[in-house]
Amino acid sequence: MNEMTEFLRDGMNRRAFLARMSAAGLGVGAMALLAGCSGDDNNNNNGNINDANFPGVPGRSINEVVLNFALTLEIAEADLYRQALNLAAGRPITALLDGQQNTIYDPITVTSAIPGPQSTGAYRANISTGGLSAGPAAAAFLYLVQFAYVEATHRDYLKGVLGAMGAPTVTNNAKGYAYPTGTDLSSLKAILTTLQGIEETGVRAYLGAVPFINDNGIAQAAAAIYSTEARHSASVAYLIGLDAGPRKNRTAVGDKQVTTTYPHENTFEYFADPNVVLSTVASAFFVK
Amino acid sequence: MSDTLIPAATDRKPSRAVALAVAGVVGASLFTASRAYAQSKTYTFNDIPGSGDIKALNYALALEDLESALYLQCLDKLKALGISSGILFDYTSEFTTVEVDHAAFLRGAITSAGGSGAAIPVGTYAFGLDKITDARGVLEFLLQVEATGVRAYLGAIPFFTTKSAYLQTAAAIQATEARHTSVLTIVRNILYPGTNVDVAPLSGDTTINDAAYNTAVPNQGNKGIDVTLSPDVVLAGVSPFIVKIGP
Repeated sequence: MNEMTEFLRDGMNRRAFLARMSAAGLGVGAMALLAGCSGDDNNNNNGNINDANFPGVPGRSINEVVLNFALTLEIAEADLYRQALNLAAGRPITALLDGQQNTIYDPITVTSAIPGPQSTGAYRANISTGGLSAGPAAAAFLYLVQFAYVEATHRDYLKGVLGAMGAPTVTNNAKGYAYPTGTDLSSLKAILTTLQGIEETGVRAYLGAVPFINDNGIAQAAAAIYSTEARHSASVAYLIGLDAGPRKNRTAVGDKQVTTTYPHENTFEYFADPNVVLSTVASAFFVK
Repeated sequence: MSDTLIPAATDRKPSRAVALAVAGVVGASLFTASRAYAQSKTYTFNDIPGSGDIKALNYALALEDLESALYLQCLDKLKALGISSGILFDYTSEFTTVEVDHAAFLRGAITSAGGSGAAIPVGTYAFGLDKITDARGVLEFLLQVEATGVRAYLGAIPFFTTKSAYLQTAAAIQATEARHTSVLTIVRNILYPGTNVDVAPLSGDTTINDAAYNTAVPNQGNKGIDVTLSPDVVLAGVSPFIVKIGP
């Protein structure tokens, strides 16, 4: 079982996960992030308030730090979606999203290229379904296209918000993002299984950041992104035969509860602490 | 406690609103229909008892109380239609439990924070389900209410105190509503193909009009994020279904 699979599976002990990452030499980026983001992650630390809960994340205020935390994750998530979509469509993994120009981190400026409702645009599935029947397979590819664009749009939105605030803004990891070696991306089902785990982590990341925000307008904007991540996760889970959640299953990031007792497992969402999310995501996906 | 949300019992007849919702008329949301055909008082956020976090939580409780009542009635309606298994029944049943949990939790939290009587009383609702004649009608109605719940929670955020200890819990509820909405959308697309709808907000969606949604976050429709609805808009939408609040 590879690291990514373990990241996705239930029952993974976070400490064991991080130890394994470290042993595999994959903890360098996370350590840089924890140490203040010098080097490969290219963060701009001007005015960094150095909140211990968000190690290395820039911002002149806690609100800017939280937005940069979200942007750090959205940049990675958008790029992982872009790569997954290219794989599923038989395109080079380095190909830009249709509508992007110049680099894979550029905003989508050709808005006419964004697929409309129930449309995959110019993308066509060119990969094994992984055992999904025709209906779910078609839906799976549709979601893959739609969510790839949505995550890129989240990234662009957060960049725009931070830019409008005149805030220092985190940039992409200099060496990019990648699925850990051995990750099964051989079929639509395998790809979506991987992405569903990433979406679940995103849900926990946003919810874990909520208590730090001291501006309800910022909280509202973040929550509006957060619930779309939950939608993505639930939708993909349905297609690949998992419970749509919420489920307490992201032990790699240390599931926490908003109240001591949940009447049922799916009554409330779960959250993770920002520093744990950062270290885990950096270990798993940041190219060192 | 304020009694402004405890109106005299009235003979509410939301049949027109329900009919429009059930018919899935494009552009005629629960809200436009309700505003047009409300029979009596249209509630506003001012009618919600309490202040600060208690008021925001009571607003959430008012919606969860209504939503849980709707789910329970929809379960009965499905059974009356001869449906007691399958994905629609199963998810309706599962989500009923969750919504009842939400309402009970909020009522307990408000009582703990504000004392006995701080929580808005349990309501009585008439959803016009007798006008619905098939399972699809039930599903479409639930979908509209769930989608409204997602937006309503977002719209309530500005009314919590800054760094409220309750905000994270409210958010933990809000995303479950989003999950419900997406799952019910998938169920709809499976059971009634041909008019599929998207499971989540899209990038570049130009059908979202900020003014119509009375949102505090500008240009949401182009950002692939959930839109907000202000409490007054939400309460106007659900007012026709409220028979009375309290005994």
